[in-house]
Amino acid sequence: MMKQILVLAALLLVGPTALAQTGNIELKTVVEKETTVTNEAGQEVTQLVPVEKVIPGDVVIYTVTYTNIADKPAEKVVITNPIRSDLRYVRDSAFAPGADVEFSVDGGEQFAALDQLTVERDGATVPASLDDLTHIRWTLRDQLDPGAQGFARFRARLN
Amino acid sequence: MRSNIKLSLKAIARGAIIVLTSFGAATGYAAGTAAGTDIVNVAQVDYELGGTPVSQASNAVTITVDEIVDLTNVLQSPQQTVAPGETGAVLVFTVTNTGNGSETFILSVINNDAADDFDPVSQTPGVFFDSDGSGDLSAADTPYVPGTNDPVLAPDAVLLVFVVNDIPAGLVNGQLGRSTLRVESATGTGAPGTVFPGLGDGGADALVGSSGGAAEATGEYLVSDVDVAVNKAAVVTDAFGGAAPTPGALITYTLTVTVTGTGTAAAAVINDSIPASTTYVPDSLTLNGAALSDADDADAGSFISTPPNGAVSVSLGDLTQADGLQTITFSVRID
Repeated sequence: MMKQILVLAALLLVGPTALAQTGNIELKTVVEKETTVTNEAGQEVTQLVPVEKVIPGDVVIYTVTYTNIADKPAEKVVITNPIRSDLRYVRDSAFAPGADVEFSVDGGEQFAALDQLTVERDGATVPASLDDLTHIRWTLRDQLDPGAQGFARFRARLN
Repeated sequence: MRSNIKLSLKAIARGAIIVLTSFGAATGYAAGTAAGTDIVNVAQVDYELGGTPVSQASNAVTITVDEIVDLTNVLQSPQQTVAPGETGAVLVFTVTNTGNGSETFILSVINNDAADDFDPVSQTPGVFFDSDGSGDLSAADTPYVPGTNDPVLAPDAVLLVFVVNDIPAGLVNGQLGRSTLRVESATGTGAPGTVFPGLGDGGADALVGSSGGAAEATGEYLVSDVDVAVNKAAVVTDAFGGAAPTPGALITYTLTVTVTGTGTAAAAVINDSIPASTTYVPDSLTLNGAALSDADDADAGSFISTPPNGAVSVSLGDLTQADGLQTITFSVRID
């Protein structure tokens, strides 16, 4: 009996994470790297290939895809992605059709446009640098209808 | 409704998980993110469905930071002037781990340069670590024994290395000998980009960086048996216009200093005692025609009133053959 309670408690704790991918919005993240290959016509083309291993200086591309799998529209849809301290956001790389992009420098508490953000450094308030960013957020302008999907993307360089 | 139950669960937990953060130790090496670091990314979506707020997390994607094997090896010593047969001539090198992982390095000394005039002879042991941090080779410094105490450097760590050579006898002025310290990564060497699967920190792959995983730096020894010759001449002038060494007569001494050979006579100082039964004539000291004060001050010369009759002292600094003849004069009066 005790064991069952513990299991239930654990479920409650991990619930949102564990159940998320089968929720009303299917949310999927991939991390990729740009690779230049030569196609059959002899042209150099850039492809995105999944990446598992990186070295300092590498640029990786995070893509978050979302699909409304519920039977009613989702409103006020906001996608949030952390930017690890080991990673530096590549300026102007955030991309998400139909969404507004904002950033956070305080662990995701507050968000604003990049040029509006400030941090305290050596007792002074200074404009935030790319190194200060902790999160990126995309706010969809319109509701997400049942069956509709989209994606959000940004690049980051490994420190 | 299956989804309604889920929604309520999520609503309860939402306060606890506002934004899913990422995991893993935050590190900030100048050499880059530490090898073996896992960078986990989880995105989050927040929305309202039928007026009910919902928060969901995505799958997690992980990238692992591979180790870059890289180093620098820099000679710190200027060209060393040595004498034939000199023992224990030291060259100083700094070895820096410029990779992003902890790395073991293997050191070796190469003295058989084909283009130089002679081969220095490595002592046994011939490589020391600056264990006491003094910057100089000292008794406390640890000798390097390959395979036994190969140095392990953290990212950005710097190691001061002393290479100790003997100089063969029988060499002549101007002969040059080179000594090279080679430092190799124990993980491996190869063309930049060479991969050693699984050999990086934390089981990550190791990649050879721009150094190729090895670095050599070469110091030079220049043979010099620099010789300093001093010639002393005296001119006597008596009170009667003659040259008789009578009481009251003036003796003017001229010392000429000549440096021959290659190399430098470092911090050369000429001291000359005032002869017995004479007295130094104050302010009579000159160097190359310029007067020197008797005081021990900024100029090169001084009169030292040590018993019995004192002495003159002139500091000539670092002298080479190129400096040419140095002429010192001073006068005494016969008592």
